Amino acid sequence: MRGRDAAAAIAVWAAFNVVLSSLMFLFTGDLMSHAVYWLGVFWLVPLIALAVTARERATRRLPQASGGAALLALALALVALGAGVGLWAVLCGAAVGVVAVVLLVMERSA
Amino acid sequence: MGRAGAGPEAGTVSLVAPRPPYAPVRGVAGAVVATDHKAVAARTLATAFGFFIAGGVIALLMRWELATPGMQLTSRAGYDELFSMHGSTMIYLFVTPAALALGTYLVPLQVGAAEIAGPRVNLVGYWLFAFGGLLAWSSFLARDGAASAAWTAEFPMSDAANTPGSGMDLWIAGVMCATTGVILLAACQLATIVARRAPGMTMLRLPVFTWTMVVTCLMVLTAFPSLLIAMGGLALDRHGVDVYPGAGGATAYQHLFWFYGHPVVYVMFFPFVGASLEVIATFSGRRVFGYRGVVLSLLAFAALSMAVWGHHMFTTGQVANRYFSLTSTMLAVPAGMEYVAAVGTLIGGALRLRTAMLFALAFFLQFLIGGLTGIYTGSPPLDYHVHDSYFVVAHFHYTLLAGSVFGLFAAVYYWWPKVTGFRLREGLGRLHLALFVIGTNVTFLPMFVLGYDGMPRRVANYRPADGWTTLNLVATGGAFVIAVSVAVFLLNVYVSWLRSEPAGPDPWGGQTLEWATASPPPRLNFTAPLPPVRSAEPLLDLRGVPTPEALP
Repeated sequence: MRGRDAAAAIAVWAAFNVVLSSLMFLFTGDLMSHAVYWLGVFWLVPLIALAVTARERATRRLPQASGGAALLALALALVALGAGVGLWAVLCGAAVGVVAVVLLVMERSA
Repeated sequence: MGRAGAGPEAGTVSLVAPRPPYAPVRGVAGAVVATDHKAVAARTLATAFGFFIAGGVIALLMRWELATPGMQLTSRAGYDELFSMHGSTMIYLFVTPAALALGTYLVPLQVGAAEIAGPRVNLVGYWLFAFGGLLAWSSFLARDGAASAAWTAEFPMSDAANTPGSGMDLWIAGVMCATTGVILLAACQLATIVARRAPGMTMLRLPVFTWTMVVTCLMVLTAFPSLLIAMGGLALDRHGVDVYPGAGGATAYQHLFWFYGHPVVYVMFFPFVGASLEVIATFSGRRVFGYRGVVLSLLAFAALSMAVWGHHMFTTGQVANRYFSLTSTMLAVPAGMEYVAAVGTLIGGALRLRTAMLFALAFFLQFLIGGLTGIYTGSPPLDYHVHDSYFVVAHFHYTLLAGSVFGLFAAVYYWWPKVTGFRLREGLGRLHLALFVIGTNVTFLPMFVLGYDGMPRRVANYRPADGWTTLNLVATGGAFVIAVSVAVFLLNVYVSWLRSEPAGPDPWGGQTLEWATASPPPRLNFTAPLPPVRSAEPLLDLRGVPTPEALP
């Protein structure tokens, strides 16, 4: 199933947002209000482009399990934990992250 | 191994069988690393429900504290931590991930896909959410206590000077992890809808629930990065980088936060609208009334909900109140369309008042109170009066607990047989519903009066002379009734599991593709050819129920 009709749906939603964010110009010139909304709306452009080009591959391999994915999440959480408990957690996170990436590469190429 | 569509538009997608090193992993390791979207969704929902219980215990402590004047349980600083962690837990760690968990389980099944797109990314999403929750809750272990700047972490209340200590830092890290996880879950669902639909499943044949997940995922992908930016800035600011300088900085933080903070309300609402509409359609024996109107109104509703964040900032005087009041009031139009769809589906239907149906009806009725008071708070002059009062607390609890959580339970009772293979008990389900209805209304209706009388939110104490004691006592009683109702639900799960009654693939006479496979579904969702997809309710087509277009 190709993604063009999905892209059209996203485009309709984006169009609604463009109308609403443009309407705001009639009420305020506040830069922050416009910047926040328009940045959100602009992000939809690559999303629509992705949807237009999306299609299902004829064959694909499904992973039953992924230790690499779980470890990657742990690594990111450890890096975030570093904000509260210090550099050691960031370093642990980085180390776990390296292991996670290696595992993910091995899983993908297995 | 594979999935084959059937019917005139059928095609085949072959899936290469997993090789030996990636054969099913069982036990604890399987629970940690399995990528099956159904397992990930079940884990997400179970984890979110665990946080619901934890956040609920905090709510009981808060209500105990407020039952009578004076300090009963905790200090003022302790109370700040309690309401901050209660709100954070319920929004970041319960309702939002639970809403996404429903989609993670159901979207691939409803669109006829064998698996979710990006199963590894999906798994990362779950674990980031789970670790994020643990990080946020670990802030209770910090020397200076947990986060205490509300779920909004309003700046400068949340800066290093006003909220010192690592508790706040851990909370920020946890919120960022959990939110990133939710973004990943949403991305996988949207990718599945875009690229993994079964042959014949055009966008205008998507089930209503899946449509609500489309708009939910769009909102997550568009609005949630704003929270990451706001929290990242806050983390940097707390460590010496002047990200939000002066009064303008505080306003900038609010813009970034509320650009996430209002859409998230609808992220916690739309999936339950979709679930409740499907439940009502199934138990009415009819198709969802005005399907195309519902789809259009969902798109408009979701867009409008991106344009209303400023109504949370009316009293700052720094936003265009007329614009945000206009867009907030306009929300009533698409919301009304959803209600028209629900009522239109019910009219003329052969109603079966099962527990799921009753929860769905209660969802629409209870949410109405939250929705209508939203029009009230969307008006700046009225909002100035009730801002930061218990009126607002009552309003958003009617949307989130008395609204969305009813929708969640409707979904749980409806899809439980599909997920587990056995039904929940009807009698205990009805008791759960009755207690939940009584509890929520006894808890939150008095808060409208308290707020209108001027009781501010986020206070640990009040004077006897304020005259708020009776209503606070009533609200506290109601909170404990809610706790009993949740206990009844857990008892129902236990009893139903202990003496399980096999449900079969389609116990309710469902309308969408998930009911065309076994309960619980196999690893690749469908083992038999899919029925032809010629409408949003392919199983009704199989039973010969004409589509509205086919009627004379």
